[in-house]
Amino acid sequence: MRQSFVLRLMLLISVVIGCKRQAANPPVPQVPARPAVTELPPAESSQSSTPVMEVRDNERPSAVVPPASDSADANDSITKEGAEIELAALSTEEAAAAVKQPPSERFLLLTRDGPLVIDVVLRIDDEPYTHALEQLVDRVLHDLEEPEGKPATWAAMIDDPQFSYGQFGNLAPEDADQKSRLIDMYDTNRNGLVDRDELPRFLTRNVGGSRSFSLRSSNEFRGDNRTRSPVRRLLDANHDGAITADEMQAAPNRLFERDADDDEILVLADFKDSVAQEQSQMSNQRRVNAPDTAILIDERTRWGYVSYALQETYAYGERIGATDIPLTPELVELLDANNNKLIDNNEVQKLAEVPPHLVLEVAFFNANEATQSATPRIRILSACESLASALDTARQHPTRLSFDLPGANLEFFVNEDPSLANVSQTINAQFSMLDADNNGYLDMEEYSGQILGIQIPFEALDMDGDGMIFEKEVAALLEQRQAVVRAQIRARAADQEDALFRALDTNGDGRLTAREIYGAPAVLKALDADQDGQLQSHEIPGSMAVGFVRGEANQDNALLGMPAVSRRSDEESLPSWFIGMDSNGDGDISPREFLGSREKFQQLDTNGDGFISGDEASALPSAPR
Amino acid sequence: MIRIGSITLSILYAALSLSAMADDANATRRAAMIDRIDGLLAERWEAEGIEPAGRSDDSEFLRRIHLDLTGVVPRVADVREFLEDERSDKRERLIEQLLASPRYPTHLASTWRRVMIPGGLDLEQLQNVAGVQNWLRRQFAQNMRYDRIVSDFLVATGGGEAGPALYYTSLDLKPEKLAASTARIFLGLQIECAECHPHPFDHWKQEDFWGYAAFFARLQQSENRRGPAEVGLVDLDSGEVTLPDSETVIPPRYPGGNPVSQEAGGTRRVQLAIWMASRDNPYLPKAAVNRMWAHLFGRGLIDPVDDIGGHNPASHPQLFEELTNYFVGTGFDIKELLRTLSNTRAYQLSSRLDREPYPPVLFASMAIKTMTAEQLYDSLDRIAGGRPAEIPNFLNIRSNLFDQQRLAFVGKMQMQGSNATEFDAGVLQALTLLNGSNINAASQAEQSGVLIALDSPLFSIEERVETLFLGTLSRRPGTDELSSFVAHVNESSDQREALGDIVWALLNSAEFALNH
Repeated sequence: MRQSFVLRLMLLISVVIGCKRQAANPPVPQVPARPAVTELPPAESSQSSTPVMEVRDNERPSAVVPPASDSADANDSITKEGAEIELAALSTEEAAAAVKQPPSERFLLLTRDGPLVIDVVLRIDDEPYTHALEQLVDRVLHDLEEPEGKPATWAAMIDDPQFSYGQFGNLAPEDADQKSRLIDMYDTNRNGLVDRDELPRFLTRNVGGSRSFSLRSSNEFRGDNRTRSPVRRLLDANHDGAITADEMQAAPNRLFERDADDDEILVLADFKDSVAQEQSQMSNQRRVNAPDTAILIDERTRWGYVSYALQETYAYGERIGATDIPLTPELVELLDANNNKLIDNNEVQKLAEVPPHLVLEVAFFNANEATQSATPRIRILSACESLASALDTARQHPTRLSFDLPGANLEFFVNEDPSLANVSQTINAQFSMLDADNNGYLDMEEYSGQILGIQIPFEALDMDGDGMIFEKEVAALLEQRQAVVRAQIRARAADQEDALFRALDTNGDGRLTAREIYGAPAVLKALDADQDGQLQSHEIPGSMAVGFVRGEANQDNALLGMPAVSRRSDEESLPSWFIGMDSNGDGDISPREFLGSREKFQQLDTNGDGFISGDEASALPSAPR
Repeated sequence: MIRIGSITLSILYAALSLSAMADDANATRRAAMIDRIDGLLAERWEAEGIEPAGRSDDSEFLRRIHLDLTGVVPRVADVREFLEDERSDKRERLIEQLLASPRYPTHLASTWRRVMIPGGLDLEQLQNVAGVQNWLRRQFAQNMRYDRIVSDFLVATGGGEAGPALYYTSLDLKPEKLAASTARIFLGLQIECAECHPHPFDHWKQEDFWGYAAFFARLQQSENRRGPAEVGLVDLDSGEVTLPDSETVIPPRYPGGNPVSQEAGGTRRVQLAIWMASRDNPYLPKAAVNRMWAHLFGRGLIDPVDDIGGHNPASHPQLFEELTNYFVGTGFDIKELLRTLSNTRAYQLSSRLDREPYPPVLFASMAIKTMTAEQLYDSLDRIAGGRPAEIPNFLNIRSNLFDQQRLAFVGKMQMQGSNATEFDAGVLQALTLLNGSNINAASQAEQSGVLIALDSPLFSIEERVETLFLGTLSRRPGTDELSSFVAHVNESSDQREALGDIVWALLNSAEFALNH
C-alpha cells in the first residue's frame, strides 16, 4: 500500500512537470510506469488527474482576458458570471492531498487541433454518481425478496404486475413465448435467478449500456457546421460563399429580419424556416469512416479503435507526431515510450494515465422538499496550464460553460428532463386532470388505462387493490419510473449545428441578444483571419459541445439540443426594477425596453453604449419614492 | 486600370441613379394614387353631402398603424418617441419603419394564414399551420411579388418548401375542397356554391366549379416520406373529376370559361399557376387589393371580402379599378400597396365622430376593428412585460404558435366571429382566461413585469401612471384622468397594488380592446 502511494506521488510530480513543461519545452520526460487503470478500484481511477491549475470561486481572475466583443459591459458581465481562474502550480503536498478524488470518468475529446483528455467528476445529490444505480438495485432486490430468504426468480418477477408494468418499464408479456424471451434477454447467466449484476440491464433497458454514465458521439454536423451554418447563409446575401465587408456591416439588419417576434433575441431555431425535419433524431451512430468525436476511456475501451480514431482525425491514417496535434503536442512526449516521436498503436493505452487537460464537475440533484428547484450545474475544477489562454476566454454559467480553443469553440452543458425537477407538480396536474369528479381518487371509469403517457393497467397502479387510485399511488409509480432515469447520466459529444451562431454568441448563453446582434460586424471582422475583408467558411471557428443529461432516451434531441441559458446567475444582486424592465431577459435594458424618457435613459447609460447594463442600473441610488 | 475603374464607377453611378430614378418614379406614382384615392372618396362624400371625420391624432394613428402593420400595440418607448417627434413627415417615416420591422412579415403571415386555414389552431394541425405561416412569413419578408407567391404556392411539392404543401394536406388533397378554398383565397370567388347547383347570384355553373377543381385532381401525397412530419406532394399523370352523381368527366377549365390550351405543358397545377399569374386572370389582383383594403379599413371595397362578382359590385367601382391597375403596375407589390393605402387621408381619419356614424361603405371615418385573438394576446404580453415563453424545442422550427399559453388563449378566443368590425370578443372574458397564466403572474408584484419595473426610483407617481397609459392606450392621460388616478395611488396603502388596479382598469376599457 505504502509502495503504491509513493508510486502515485512520483507520478503526480512527474505529471506536474509534464504539463508545465509544455510551455517551457524541456527535454522528454520519463514517465514512470504505473498500474493500468483497469487494475485500480474505481474510486482511485482519477488520482493521476491532479490539477496543476485550479479554478476557484470568488476570487478575482489574474488572467481573464475579455472575449472578442465591442463592449466593456458585456465583458464585465461575463467575467462576473464566471467562476474565476487562478493559475497555480500545486505543491507536492497539495498534490498528495488531491489523491482523494471523488470518482470520475475520463474521455478523449477530438477537437480540431488535438485531442483533449478530460476527466469529469460526476455527482448525484452530492454523492458519487454510481451510488444511485447501486441503491436502486439494492432496493429492487429487497422488494423482490421472497419469504424465507428464497432467491427471487426472473419468472416470478416478470409475473409480478408491480414490476412488469409501469414502474420499471412496460414489459407485460402477452404470452408464454414473449415471457420466456424476456427472461432469456435478462437472465444472462441462465440460472433462472435475479442476480445482482443482471438487474441494471433490466432496469435501464440497456440504455447507456446499463451503466451509471455513458458517452456517445454524433457526427451529424461534423465537418460542415460552418458551410451549412444557417446564420452564415443568411448573412451571405449575394450567395458568393463569403461574407463581404458590406455584408458584415449589414449583419445586424439581416439578423433582425429573423426576429419574428421582435423581442431582440434570436435562438438558432429562428434561422430555420421549414418544418421538414432534416433528421428526425440527431443520429448517435457514427458516419461511415468518420471516427467518434469523443471516446470514453475506461476498462472497456477498445484501444485499437482509439488509435484508429486519432490517426484518422489528425494524421490521415498515419501515426501522430507532435505537429499533427498543435493544441496538445505534449501528448506525443507523454505517450511515446520508444522515443520515435510518434504515437504508436501500442502506446495509446497510456492515455488512461496521463494528466488530464481539464477536470470538470457535473452535479445533478433530485428535487425534494428542501431543494425546490434542483437545477443541475457544471463547472471547471481544474485545467492544465497549456489550456490557460483558452480558459481566459471561458464563459461560465451554472448550466453551461464555453471557451475558445484554436480553431474551435468548445462548450459543455448540463440539462435534464424538466419533469424530473417538478415531480409533485407533474403528478398533481396529471391527477387532477383525470379525477373528473374531484373526489380525490380515480375509479375504473375515470382511469383510461394511461397515465403520464404510459399504458398501465388499473390493477398495476392500484397497489393496495382497493379499487381506487390515489395520488400517492401515482406518486409512487412516478417515483419508481424515474428512479432509473435519475440514476443515469448520459453524455453526448457533437459538433454543433451552426458554428457561426456560436461565434456571434459572445457571452455563450445560447442566444443572440441585441448587444450581440449590434456587435456582430466587429466579431465577423475579427474572425476574418487573413484580413482580406471577406469572411470565408474556413475562417469560422468550429463548434463542438458535450452535453451531460438525465432524462428518457427518447427525449435526447430536446435534452441534448443545448438549451439557452434562461436566467443570469447574477440576477439576485440586481435591482428588481431592472429585471422587470429587461423584458426579454437578455441582461440589458435596450432603448426599446426602457419605460422612461430618453433623457432618463441617457442619464443611466453612463458609458453611452446604448444599453443600460446591470451595473449601470445598480449605480442608481434608491431614492425615496 | 484607371480606365476600368472609371468605367466601373460610371456603371455604378448609372445604376445608382437608375435606382434613384426608379424610387422617384415610384414615389410620384404613389403620391398620385394617394391623391386619387382621397379624391374619389371625397367626391362620394360630397355627393352624399357629408363631412368626414377629422384627422386622427398622433396617438390614435400610432396605435392603429402598429396594430395593422405589426399586429401589436406600440411599446412605451415607441409611443414616447413618436409623440415627441416634431417632424412634419413623421407618419410617413413611421409607416416606413414599421414596414421594415421584422414583425411586419410576421403579422402579414398570420393574417394570410388565418385566411388560408380558417379552422383555427387545431392542435393536431399545429405543425402544418406553423409550416404555412413560416413559409408565408419568408415570402413577405422578402417582399416577393404577390403573383409569384401564389404561383409558388400552387405548384408546391414539399421538401424544403413544406409550408404550402401542408396547406394541401390540411384539406385532405380533395379537389373540391382545394378548389373552393383557393378560389376564395386567391380569386375572391365563392364558386363553391356551384359545387352542387348553379350559383344562386353569380353566373357560375356546376361545370365551372368542377372545371376549376379538375386542376387539383391529380395530387397525391408522396410515398417517399422520411417521417410523419415530412410532407411531399406529387402530381400524377392521371386523375379526373366528375360531376356529382354522374360519370361526366369535367376537363380543367379556368374560371371565366377558357379551357386549357392543348399545347399547354406541365402538370395541371403548373397550368393553373401560369394562368393565375397571367393577365388573363382579372381576379387575382382584385382579390388581393380588396383584401388588403379590408385589412386596413375594416371592410373591403367589395364586401364580403371574398365574394367578388357581377352580383356584388364594389362600393367605389372607379377607385377599385384604378387601385387594381396600380397594384398590377407596381409588380403585385403588397408592401407598396399597404404603404400607399396607409398614407392616405382616408386611412388617417379619426374614428371619432361628433354625430351618428355614417354608413361604413362611405369610409368617412375610420372603422373600429376588433383585435384578433393573436393581436390581443401579443399586446397583453408586451404590456405585462413578461419574459419570453420557453417554447419547446422538440420541433424543428420556432414559432410563437407553439407557445402553449398563447395557443390556449387564441384557441378559446377563436370561437368569436370572424368579421373584424363586429365587437363581440369581450376583453373581460379574455382576461379571465388569463387567470393563473404567466401573463397574470408577470403583472403581479413578486414576478417580473411592468409593475415591478415601475417601482424604480427613477419615476414619480405621475410618471408611473403616465407610463401605464402609454403602454396600454398609447396616449398620455388627460389632466382629469391623471389627477384621479394619481389620487387613487396616493390614497392607497399599497402603491404597487394600486398601480395594478390601474392596469386592470385600462385593459378593461373598450379603448384598449379595440383597434380604432
